[in-house]
Amino acid sequence: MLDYTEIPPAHWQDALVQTRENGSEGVRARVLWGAHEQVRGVRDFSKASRLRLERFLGLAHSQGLSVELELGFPPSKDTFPAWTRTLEHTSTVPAIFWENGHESFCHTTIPSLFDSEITEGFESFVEEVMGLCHLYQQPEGPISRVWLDLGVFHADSQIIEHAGFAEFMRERYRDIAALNVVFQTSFKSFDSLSTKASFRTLLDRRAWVAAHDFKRCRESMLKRVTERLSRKFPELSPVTPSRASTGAHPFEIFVDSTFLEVTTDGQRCFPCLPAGIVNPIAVQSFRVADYLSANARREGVRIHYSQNFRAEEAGQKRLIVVCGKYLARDAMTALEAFTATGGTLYFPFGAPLYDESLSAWKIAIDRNRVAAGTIAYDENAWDEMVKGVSA
Amino acid sequence: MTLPCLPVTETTRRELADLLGLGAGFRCYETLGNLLLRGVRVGRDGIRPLLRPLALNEISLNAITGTEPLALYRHAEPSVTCLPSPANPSLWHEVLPYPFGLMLVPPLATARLEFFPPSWGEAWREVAGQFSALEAALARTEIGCLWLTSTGRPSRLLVVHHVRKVRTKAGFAPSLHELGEAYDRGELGGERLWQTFGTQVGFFSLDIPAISEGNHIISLSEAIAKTLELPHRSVEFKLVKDPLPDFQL
Repeated sequence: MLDYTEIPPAHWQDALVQTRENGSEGVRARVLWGAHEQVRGVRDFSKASRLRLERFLGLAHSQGLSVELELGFPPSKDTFPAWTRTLEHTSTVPAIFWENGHESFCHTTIPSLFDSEITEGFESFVEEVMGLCHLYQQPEGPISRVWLDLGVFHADSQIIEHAGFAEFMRERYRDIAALNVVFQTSFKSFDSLSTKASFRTLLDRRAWVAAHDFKRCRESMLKRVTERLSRKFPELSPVTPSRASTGAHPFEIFVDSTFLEVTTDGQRCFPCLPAGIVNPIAVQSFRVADYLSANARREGVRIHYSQNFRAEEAGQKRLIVVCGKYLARDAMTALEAFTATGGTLYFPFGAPLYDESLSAWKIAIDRNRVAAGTIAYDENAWDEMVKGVSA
Repeated sequence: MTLPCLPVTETTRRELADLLGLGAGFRCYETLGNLLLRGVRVGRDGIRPLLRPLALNEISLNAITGTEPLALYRHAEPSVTCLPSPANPSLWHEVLPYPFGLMLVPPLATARLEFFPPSWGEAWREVAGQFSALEAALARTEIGCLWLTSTGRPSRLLVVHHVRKVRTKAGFAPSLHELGEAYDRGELGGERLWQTFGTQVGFFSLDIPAISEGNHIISLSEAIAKTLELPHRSVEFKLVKDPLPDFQL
């Protein structure tokens, strides 16, 4: 990834030559909205030397390099224009998601993707960039593709206060009575769910199911944004967030990411804390993942984070699930299939007992393939697992 | 010129902490109320996350502080700390592994850092101040180089790039080790720096003394102070504009 706005323009040529000498045939560059729009609605692609996108594209073309441009919201100090900082609607994301950000338990505030001023401003910016890109498309120019990456919004913890959350829950449960049965609550309508206090209740009652719904809701809301932008700008290719590896190595460790936010490179994680609400299970999940990944790094093993388990790939993989007593039904089905195809399950803080409808989980899985409870505090057990995989 | 520094990886972060002698035994906990959010133990064998305990009350805290030094980062309830905007962390926050960055940042309104025993905390606060002064010195020129040496350990060159006083890049530059070696021989001059970087450069050297168990933080603090107090130990190349011609009526 080359951030032309962060390299002095006099060095662009050298950077591109070096890229080519390193054996690359192409370069990926981010076009950051905040860098190009210092004043609201006024975009600079030609005045300031570091913002001369056309010059950069021309240099890349002269070096015979293809260029993939990336638009969107990557974690960078120039992601958002300065004027967006004063908008009423904000989102919060773990600070660890920001480039070189705080690794401690801090969140940071960013403008909300669901603020109409952000939507309109960003669409207008994309329109201007795409107009410019048309002139530099291959084969006449170097641009081979333009990506759309919603970046930091994949870790947005604030969406429960957006009307889209209530809509999602209505679609999922159809009837408020059905939701009340699952969460053992007494909400009168779906609209009353869109508050922090309501979501805290859901988390307190059925933490795993609430976090599962929260993440699925976020995914669906972001998908809608991507689809809308893709319809408007058909040349944009959406970037999908990284999924767990489907690599061929049979010995792999997977951690259920329902309670985790994972950085796009899949290297670091943070507890999933909707609206900043700290849930003990999310913290436990993070601490197990943090402990395992530190050991795995030492042994040269990679930990994968995943929310979707594909049974046909289980093999000898190990999956760690930190949960309470309740799991969503579809997750239970996936876990049964996971063990049926050879995978081993670990429930460090105890196995789930019921599905979301309070039906007891009639575990149709090989008990030998499940380890529950006792390993929670046993550091040796985790060490041996990592060493076993590295061997 | 493309800045020839490599991005800071998890491994280089840990190596740097080790080189600076920050690896003596202590624990660092982050808490929210009684809930222990994260715990790590920093030791000679590296930084190890801890699975236990899950919660921290006064009794368990007393038991821990009696055995080894502890840094305790407490978030104010009910939510975790929310920074007002994406942080622009200090250089040390960027290049040192967790929890060292945490121990060098100024306190926030919603989170406070406590040290046990307090005298150990004072030593950390002192070193944080020295790091901050060193960062300011590195930011005086477009390129700031810090040659880190310690007896019996491989030396490292930390390169920091600033554009209009804003840090854009920091990393290690193994390919430029010969600059450090030239400095050690007393052969590094402004001209060599100009040839290498083609811009304004400040080159500093930090000789880290042999680390003994008890006073490693104080020793580091003194070493940085020495680097900053003796200007002749650094090499600087600055572009000097032509003086203005005499103004005549």
